[in-house]
Amino acid sequence: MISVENLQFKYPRSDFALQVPSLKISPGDRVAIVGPSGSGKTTLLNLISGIATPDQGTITVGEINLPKLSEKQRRDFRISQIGFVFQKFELLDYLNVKDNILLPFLINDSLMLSSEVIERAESLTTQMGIKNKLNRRSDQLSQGEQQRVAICRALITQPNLILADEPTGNLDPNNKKLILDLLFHQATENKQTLIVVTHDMTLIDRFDTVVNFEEFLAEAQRSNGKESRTEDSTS
Amino acid sequence: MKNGPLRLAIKYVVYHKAKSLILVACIFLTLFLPFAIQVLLWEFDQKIAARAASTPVVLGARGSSLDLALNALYFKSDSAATIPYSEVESVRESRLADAIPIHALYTAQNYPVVGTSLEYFSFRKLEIAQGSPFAILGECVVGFRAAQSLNLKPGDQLLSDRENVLNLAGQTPLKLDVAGTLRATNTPDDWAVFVDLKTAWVIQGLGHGHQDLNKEAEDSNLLLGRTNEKITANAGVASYIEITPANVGSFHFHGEQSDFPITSVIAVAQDVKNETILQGRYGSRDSQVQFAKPALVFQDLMNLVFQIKTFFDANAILISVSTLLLLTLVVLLSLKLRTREMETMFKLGCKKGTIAALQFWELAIIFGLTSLLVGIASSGLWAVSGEIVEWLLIRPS
Repeated sequence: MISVENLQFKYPRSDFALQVPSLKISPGDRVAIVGPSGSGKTTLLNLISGIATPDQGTITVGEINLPKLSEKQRRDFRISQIGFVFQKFELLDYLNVKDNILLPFLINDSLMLSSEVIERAESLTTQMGIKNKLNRRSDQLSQGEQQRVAICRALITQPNLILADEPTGNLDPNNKKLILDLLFHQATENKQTLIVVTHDMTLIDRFDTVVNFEEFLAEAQRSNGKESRTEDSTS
Repeated sequence: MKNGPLRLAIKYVVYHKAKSLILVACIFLTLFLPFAIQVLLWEFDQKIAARAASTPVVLGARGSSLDLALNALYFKSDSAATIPYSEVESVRESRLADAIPIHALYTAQNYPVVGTSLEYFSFRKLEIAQGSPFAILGECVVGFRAAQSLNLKPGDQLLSDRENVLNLAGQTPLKLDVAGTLRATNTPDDWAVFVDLKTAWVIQGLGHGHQDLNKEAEDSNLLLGRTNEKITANAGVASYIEITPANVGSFHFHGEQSDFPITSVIAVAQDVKNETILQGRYGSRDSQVQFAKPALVFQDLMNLVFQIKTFFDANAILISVSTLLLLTLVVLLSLKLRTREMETMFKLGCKKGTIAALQFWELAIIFGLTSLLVGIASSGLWAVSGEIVEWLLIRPS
């Protein structure tokens, strides 16, 4: 279970402030986060993954209360629990497909690159239909293929939670459907929770839960108005 | 994975070959060039000092002592002035020093032809590799390198060069018989063709051989006039361009031998006292001959060279600093361009220390590769520096 309560976050030197009164996501849920640009969707993913820490409120993933963790503990949590998929794939151009998938193992001392991991990587590429591209560099792949490599990279550590930030944003309609199908299939098969940030409203009926950030914005505006009225009456 | 950053760094450097090679080349040139100049100058200094030390005193025409030393030691004839052969006789008669004449004005196949006496061979400890020393007019002994590059052996012939190819009325080339070749000495002697002084004068046109006009008296076309003292002939008389046993008797010199030119005299005094007296004799302003100690002449030259080198050193330091600054700029720009890559790694759980290690390994590979190249190039240069300096300093141009 992922639970967010009374979350408040503000970037330094920025007017933007994120407020999430309450959000609960059950294990294995497929959740879509929608909302206008700049409403804080990506920020919420950063907070859930422990990259950023909230100014106020709690975020618990299972039994773990993220704001209470040290930076090292949050990093360990990210390595063991989270798989990231990005809109622009973020593959390294100087690595081939195989090394891109194995990247988490190359950059983290705590992960051991064993033959089992390599077999898993090969198995994932077979499932994603890119087995024959293992030795190609990422810039030699189509966009759809690049996103499939990125999904393999997210799944290679066998995370419990997959965070996908507009994974279909750069893809054509055929690839959009294909990538989402692959993500759903993998999440279902491995009993993983899937949180997807998307702008594409045509996709949201495929998710178990849809979180609309417009509601949070409206709530934030209401509470801001309430605060200012209270301040007015007291003065 | 412990060696993950190293593995990634290798892949990054290999993938960005052009960028990596440019960086390697910049650092390589910055490090290697000052070193190369240092090594070559050191070698140059050693060689020039060794040659100068083995030649205590030279005498020659007044003027540049450097030109004189270059002619006597390196057979450079570009601006050689001459003194009469009588100076050799004068030194010998004084018994202050042994006098070895040097006549280095001409070339054969671009190699300097050095007219001298056989004492030169014992003075320089030159050993005959094949054949024998020159014995008769027209014979030569060829230095190791010259023999090697012209593929000469005893019994072969070598034609001297015309002084001026456009002056058809000038002296004709002389065909020299190779009597012997020398062992390698790694000195300018390796690049020279040694002949007897008289042969050098024949090349210069002071001595010559032609058909016997007494025997050709019947040919009225050649003879212009005949008296008891003198026979006058026209230009149709055949001059010999080769000295053979059959025509050697016809070779003769016009004028006094003591007036014939030489370019320098190597004077080997028996002791310091004699050398000082000799110096005093040629030290007066009226003397047409100058006394020079090559060791001092070349020491002055090297002092000047090392003075100039300090400017190169300062320049090298400035270039090193600017290269370092440019390298810093390249690294900073590269980091900026790779911000997203670093952010992705961070999101995937990478420590900041690991990202720094990745950067470190990339630079370490570049510097390691450069150091390896500098090491190889330096070893190579060290091994061949002697030959390079010989090539630059001694080889005939």
